[in-house]
Parts: sequence; structure tokens; C-alpha cells
Amino acid sequence: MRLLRYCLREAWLGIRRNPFLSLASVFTSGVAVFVLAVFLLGALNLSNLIDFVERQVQVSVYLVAETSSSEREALMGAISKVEGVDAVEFVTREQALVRLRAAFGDSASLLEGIEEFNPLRDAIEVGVTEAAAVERVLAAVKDHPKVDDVSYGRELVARLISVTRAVRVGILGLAGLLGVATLFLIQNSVRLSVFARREEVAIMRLVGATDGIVRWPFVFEGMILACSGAFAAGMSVTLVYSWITRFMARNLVFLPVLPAGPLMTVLTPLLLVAAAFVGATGALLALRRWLRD
Amino acid sequence: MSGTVEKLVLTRGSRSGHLRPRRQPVCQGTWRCELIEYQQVSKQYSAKVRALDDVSFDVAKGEFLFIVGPSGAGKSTLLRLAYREERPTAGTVIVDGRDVSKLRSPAVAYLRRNIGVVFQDFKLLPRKTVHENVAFALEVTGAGASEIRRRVGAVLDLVGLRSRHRAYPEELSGGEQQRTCLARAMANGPKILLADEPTGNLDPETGTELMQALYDISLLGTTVMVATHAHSIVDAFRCRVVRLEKGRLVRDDRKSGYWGADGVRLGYEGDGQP
Repeated sequence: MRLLRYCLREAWLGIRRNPFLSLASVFTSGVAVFVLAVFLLGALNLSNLIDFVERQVQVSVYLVAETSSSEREALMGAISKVEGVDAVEFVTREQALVRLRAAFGDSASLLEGIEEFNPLRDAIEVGVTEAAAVERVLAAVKDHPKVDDVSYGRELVARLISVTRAVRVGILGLAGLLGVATLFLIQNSVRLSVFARREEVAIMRLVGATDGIVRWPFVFEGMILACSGAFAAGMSVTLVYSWITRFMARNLVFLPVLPAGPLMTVLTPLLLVAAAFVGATGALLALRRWLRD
Repeated sequence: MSGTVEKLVLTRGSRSGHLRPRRQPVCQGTWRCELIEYQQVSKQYSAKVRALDDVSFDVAKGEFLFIVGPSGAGKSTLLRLAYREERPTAGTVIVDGRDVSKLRSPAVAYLRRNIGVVFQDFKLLPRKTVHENVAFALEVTGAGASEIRRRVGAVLDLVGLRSRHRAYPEELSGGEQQRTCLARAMANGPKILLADEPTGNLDPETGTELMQALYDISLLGTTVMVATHAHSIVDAFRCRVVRLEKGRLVRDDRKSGYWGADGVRLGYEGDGQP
């Protein structure tokens, strides 16, 4: 307990004795965490947007005219068992015409007279959770004797599959890179702080301080500095993101944006914990050289 | 080494409060008296730089010892080996019964709490006061606040700096800085005090005063090893001298009958070239 008090006091003194260096560390870690947070928010929203777009993909399985209801039910059962399928609905050709009419709106008069020889077909509409499920639905129905044709946004699905895969790999890679960059930035500023006090470290060791006693004040210092920066960054990002979500809600309603409140309540503590970890690791890495035998 | 070695201990007189010498046996019979043992120690820094070459000698408990020799003779290396700032390339250094080169990191820290070190360049922390500089040595050992206050007060009294405890190093004279360094070295009540050219940055008079302080500390029971090339000071103290030249031990007063039959130090007859 006494040593903990000593370590915390020394950490605080270390920060106060080098105010400019400490401020630089807070600023560096703040900027690093800010960039990381902005990137994470962008990545989460992009992922959300991809999910949203993927859910818009629909497969229409057109049936031949002489399909019995039991055959139809069996086919629907088979489709609903396919992985990634979340909705299977039967739409009669009459219902399809009603929809078409509604879609034409004011120009519905163009469709007059079409009822007598409704050209539309009965269809099973399949909703999927991801673009890749389209291929699986296709494989399940394409050789079925009662399936006349299958329609889906072939181009859109192919592009979505390649784009989402690239984006997800890219997000993971960039998040890793940014994490490592943040670690090095914070480690570097702690290393400067250790370097400024190398004499003190040498004397501490000389008078019989164990490595732990030498280490902990710097570890606390690294954690305090990194967390202060992360806290400031978290607050700024919350403000900016709240403003963006309000702006989007007013002006770009069709684009789905993750709500600021719940997202930031989870993200800010996570960033703080990550910063504390990075600050402590940075301090340990920086001290390794000075604590070598 | 076995046998009996006696040393002078200063005890505080009950009435006058003055220090007076009292002869006291340090160790007797088969007890080992050596606190520091260098056994065939060599230290090679690089292929061309050999700081020590097959050096062997012992230092007894409570002994006051000068290590002399020209610059680069290996004096500082000898001291650094004792507090495990360096490890020998060959041979063994035993301090208080333990081979220091085999100690692991935490044990090195505990070893150093028993060894005070005084440097030529003082190594004081400029942003700490005299009191804080001395207290620092106790804080890192986890001592309590009241104990720190008591012990810092005692060692500052010992070196005569109680009145300057709030001063920062830059406000002190060279002699005062060195005494602060000495107080810090003594704060943990070490068994051994090592001083590496402690008078190097001091004028002759202040240097002699400091050496007297070190000698007085040895009379209180602490083993003191002083590396120096201030031969005038060495001449003034009749103490055992170990002389190094180019890393080799060329003279050891103990081996050449330095101790008198009654255990009183016969001293060093200065040869004018320490």
C-alpha cells in the first residue's frame, strides 16, 4: 500500500516535473486515439451500411404455371433451410401486379388492360442476410423442375461480395496497423520521459530499488498520460459524431448511421482500456533498456 | 582469514555526549572476518581493454581501506564489481558471504541496500532537496514516513547538514554536495561504504574533512573502501592501502604485515606515488 502510494506519487511528480513532455505525450496519444476512434466509427458504419445493402438483395424464384401448392411448399421449405436466408415469401402473380401498379404510382394508367393477360408469374421471394447467400439459394433451386427462372441483381451481388470481403479485410488490417502505430507513439513519448529521468533511474537502482519499484511509477505515468489523451479524444469524437448523426438524420435519411449514444458509451471505455494497456506496455518497452543487468 | 581483529568503536559518553574510542573485538576464533573477497578477479571490457587482471584480496568487517593507483588502473571497476554494477569476466567477488555475480535481479537490489556508494560527481537529483535526495534512498526500500524522517535526520546530523536540509544541490558547495551524497549512502545503514574518488571535485581542505568523515564512519563499524589518487590524503591516514597498476594488484599492506600484533593499524607509509 505504501509502495503503491509512493509509485502513484512519483508518477504524478514525474508528470508535473516535465509538463511540456507530459503535455506532448497526452497530445500524441490523444491524436492517435482520435484517429483510431474516427477510423473505428467509419469502419463500424461502413460495416453497418454493407449489412444494410446486403439485406436489400432479394432473390426472386419464378415458378412454372402448373406448380401445385404442395410442390411450392416443399420448395419454400428447402430454400428456408439454406444458410443466410432470413425470409421466404410466396407472391402470386396477382399480388405482383398490384405491387407493380403501386410502383407505377401516378403512371398506373399505363398498365390498363394488362389485367386480362397478366404476364407476371408466381414467385417465391427470398430475403438474405449476406450477398454470398444468393449463390447458395441459386444452387438449391436452379435444377428444380418447377423453377422457371431465377432473378437477382447478378452484377450487384458479385460486386458486393468482392467489395465487402475487401473492406472487411482492409478494416482489420488498418485497425491492427493503427493500433501498433498508437503503441509506438505512446511508447516513444514514455521513452522520452524515461530518458529525461535516466539519472534518477540509475540512482534508484544504485540505492537498492527493485526493478518493480523503478518500473511502476513509469507504468502508472504511461497509463495516466495515455488515458488522459484517450479521454480527451473520446470526448471530442463523441461530440463530432453526435453532430454528424444529427446532421445525417436531418439531411441523409436514407443512409443508415449507428446511433451516437449507445455506440460511444461502449467505444469510449474500450478506448480508455486500450490506451491504458498501450501506455503501460509502452512504458515497459521503454524501460527494458534501462533495467537490463 | 581467521584470528582476531580488533577495531575501535566510538561510543557516546553518558554525560559529556562526546564520542570516545573503545576497543572491541570484531570477530574471533574460527569466524570469518572478511566482508568482501576478491578471488582471482579479472575484468575485460573489450579485446584491448583489460581493467583487472587476476586480483585477489579480502576486506575485513569494519576495515578502512584505500585503493590507490593511477587513472585507468582499475580502481573504479573494483568498486563497481562489489555492488554488482559490473560482473567479473573471471574469478569471484564475494560480498557478505554471497557470490555477487550469481545474484538475480531482486537480490542485487537487496545487496545494494547494504552498500552505500559515494561518487566523485555526487550524482544528486537536482530537483530534489537535500532531505528528499537522502529520503529517496529509503523510500525506494518501502520505509515508512516516520522512519524516513527519523533516519534522514540522523544521517544529516552525522554529516553536519541538518540545517541545510531544504536546500537544492545547486545551492550547496561541493563539500556539502558530497556530504549529502554521503548521507544518502548511509541512509540505509549499510555494512559497506564504497567511495569512488570522493575528493576529486573538492579542494584539499574539504577533501581531508570528507575523508575524516569516512574514517569516522568506519570507526562506527562500517567497512569503508575508498578509491583515490589523492596521495596527500592517503599519507595523512595510517590505513591499509591496496595499490593497482594496469589492472594488477602490486601492493597490499595486509600481506606485507600491515596489521600490528595488537590489532592496531600500522598504517600506510606514503611512497609519494599512489
